[in-house]
Amino acid sequence: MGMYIFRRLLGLIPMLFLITVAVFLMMHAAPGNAFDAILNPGIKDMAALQQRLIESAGLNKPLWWQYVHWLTQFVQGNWGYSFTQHQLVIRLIGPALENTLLLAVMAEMMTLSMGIPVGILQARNPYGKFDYGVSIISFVLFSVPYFILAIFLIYFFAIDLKFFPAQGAVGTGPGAGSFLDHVYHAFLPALAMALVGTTVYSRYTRGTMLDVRHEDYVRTAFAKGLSGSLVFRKHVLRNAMIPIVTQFGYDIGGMVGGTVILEGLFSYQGMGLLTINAVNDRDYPVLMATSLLFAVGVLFGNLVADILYAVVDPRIRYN
Amino acid sequence: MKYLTKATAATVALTGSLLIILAGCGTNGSTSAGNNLTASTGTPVNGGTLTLAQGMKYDDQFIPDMDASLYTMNITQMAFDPLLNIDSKMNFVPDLVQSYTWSSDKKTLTMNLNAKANWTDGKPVTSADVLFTMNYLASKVYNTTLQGQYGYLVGPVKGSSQIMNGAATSFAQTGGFTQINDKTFELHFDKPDAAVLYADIASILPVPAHILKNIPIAQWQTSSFNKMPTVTDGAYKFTQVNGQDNVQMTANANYFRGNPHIQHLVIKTVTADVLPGELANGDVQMNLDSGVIKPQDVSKLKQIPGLTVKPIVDNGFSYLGLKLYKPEFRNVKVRQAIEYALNRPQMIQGIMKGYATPVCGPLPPVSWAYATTQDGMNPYSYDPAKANQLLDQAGWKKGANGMRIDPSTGQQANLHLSYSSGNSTLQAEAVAIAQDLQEVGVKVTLDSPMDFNTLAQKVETNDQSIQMWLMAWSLAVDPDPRGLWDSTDVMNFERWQDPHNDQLIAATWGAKAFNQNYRKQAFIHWQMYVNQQMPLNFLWARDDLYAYSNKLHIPANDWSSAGVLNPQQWWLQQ
Repeated sequence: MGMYIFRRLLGLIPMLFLITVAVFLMMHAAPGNAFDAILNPGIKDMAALQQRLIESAGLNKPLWWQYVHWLTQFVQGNWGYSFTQHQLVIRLIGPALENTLLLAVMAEMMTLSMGIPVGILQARNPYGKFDYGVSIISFVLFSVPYFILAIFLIYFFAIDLKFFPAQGAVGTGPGAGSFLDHVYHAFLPALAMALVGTTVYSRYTRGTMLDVRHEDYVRTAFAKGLSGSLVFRKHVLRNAMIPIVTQFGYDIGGMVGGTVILEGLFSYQGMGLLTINAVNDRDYPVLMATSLLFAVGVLFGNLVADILYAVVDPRIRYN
Repeated sequence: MKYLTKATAATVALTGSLLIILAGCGTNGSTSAGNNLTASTGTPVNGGTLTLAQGMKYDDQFIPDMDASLYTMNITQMAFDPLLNIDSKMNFVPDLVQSYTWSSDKKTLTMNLNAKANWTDGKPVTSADVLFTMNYLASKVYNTTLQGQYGYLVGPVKGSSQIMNGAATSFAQTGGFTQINDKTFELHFDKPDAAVLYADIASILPVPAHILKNIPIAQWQTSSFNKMPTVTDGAYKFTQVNGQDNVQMTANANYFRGNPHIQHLVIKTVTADVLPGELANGDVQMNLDSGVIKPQDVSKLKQIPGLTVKPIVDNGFSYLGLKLYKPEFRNVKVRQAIEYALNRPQMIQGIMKGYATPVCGPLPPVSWAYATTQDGMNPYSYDPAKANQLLDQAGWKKGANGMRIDPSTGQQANLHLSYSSGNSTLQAEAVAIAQDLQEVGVKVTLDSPMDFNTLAQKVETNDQSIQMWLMAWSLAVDPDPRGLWDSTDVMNFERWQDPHNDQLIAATWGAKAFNQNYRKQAFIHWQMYVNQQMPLNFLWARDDLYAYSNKLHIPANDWSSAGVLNPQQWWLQQ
């Protein structure tokens, strides 16, 4: 297994290289640059300013030179300066990534802790009141766009009841910036994400468990006189986990990306907003860094999913 | 300016409307507060915490002019004072500079700093601080590695180019600055320029030299002072900066323009979608940037009890741009016809919900130099008959189908209009303009909306696909036309090249224009020429919209399109 993980990690390097080349080319294919949008009527000699900034950023150099320069600097830990925020990219990414990861982890924990148990309960007692009730709620939650859900959560829990803050990743006062403060601010957006995620996991869990419970080996286990809970735990649930693990792997991959709309609604400064603003502003250094992180997240998520397959399914072994 | 919301904001616009409805529904037996101009009456009380909201995040770097974001600047200006301030009528008034005089040749400006102006650590604000700040703004590092967008403030001072290219490091060396004493200094210019004080020098925000002089400018970005300045000279001082989420400030008890009434400020980012709710439940008392409230939100906001919505005419204008090198627009009568054909009052009512004022020239009504119809400006009131007449005179005859033939091609005219995506107001403007021009027989095709950077790049580089476009300008306090209107200006997007126009512009800043009356007349002559030539089609000056709690008392003369002027005079009812 160790060798397998090592080989997979090595395999990521050329993949990441190709991704950076693709992102770099796509980015430069879009018209305009970060300095075209400087439109300050107070600046008398705009042409001279734009020229200075373009030269300083190296945008007047050939594309290959720009890429090689970026790559060599990047691997040395110099991620460059944001063209529009004029700060070190790494300083912009740090807090945004922290916020996004916290939000994603909280949302995933809520999702798994609600979705899987609910799915199991539904599968244990299918076609009953609980199963139908949860199914109806699931369909409603799945049908309503999650940003509409978020709006209602903001209105009821933040604006009306004032249980949670409506905006931001950090509060004010002496406790601002503490871990608890971050968790407190991430709770509502995480819940908005988790409500939809919960329906997905509960449906997956319910569906796959119902499929597995009709397998021959489950009938055999019952015939051997094993208790219902033991059969469900050891034979049904474990075998039903494989598609759930796949979904979990996807979730891990998406954790780094953030969610543009939710972050926008909650004014939550995460990777999603940072990236979409970089796209709109043609902020190449920021965009290259966030794209690379997204790629690492997705590839790493796939690796974790593959490893977890082996954990839940003894038939799968990597050599 | 970037007269566009971000794509993210556009994506959630629908949900924003929903939240406004929810906030409106939360009111019980609501009463419309309307424009409560008496809110500033009563005896001021000290204390309290004022929470202000901005619609977009700021960049957390607060050394003045290090960042070009409006949202950052709004915060920085609470803590740092400029050399000269303005009043609600956009006249310049003393601030750090108490008084100034020009030499007889108008090449030397002597400025006297307020004797009481001190930094928060007790040290005086001195001429050395001003020199230090000017050197920073002119430096090569600032104008290359950093964004350099405010280097223009010191551009006209003698020797600025030497500093910018690294040949000198100080205006004291180049002959641009002479320190007379700690509180008096002289600035030297190569040529007389009546606009230079108000358009450039007045806006310099001095930084404390005794704090920053030991840090190379290249390292300012990463300095702790940039993240949270510890020594300032404005009405408020920083107490906590929580990343790009919120800033907390407290009153500067030794502020030389008077001790602020409100003890604490919190400035945080609140999206347009959530702002009505936060205003309704009291978590926010006012929006600090006007862009966060859209005209279509006002009626709902007015339903929230205890809230006042105040419109202030913006110092800028929206316009329909025309590429004048295109044969379709070479004839002035065609441009005038378009202006007559646009039913701007109806657009203002329908699209802007009444929160805009029609303009017909390059300066909006808030400018002291604004030319009126009494001065001879043609208002171009909606008149399709006149538009038809002018088009006929220009040779744009109607074809059999009632649509006009472009004489430059001999084919049916088909004007292409470009605009940026993610803004429903622009979309509505484009549709209305197309309909109005259709009424006079001119076909307009709306091109697919594109993101702002793409549109800006295409307009700026005279891309062949650009014929007409929608944009807006937010203007500086001083009406100096240079930058936008001279024949050689990059931002003269219409590429209007007219020597007579350049002469009229030169008269607004030449030696004679040091006389304010002369300067105003020069501006009027220039505006009348632009009004007659119509190099672009003027639409309107929108209103800046502010919503604030009735517990917040702002002096009536402190409202301006330039934002907060005297925060020390504001107070909160307990």
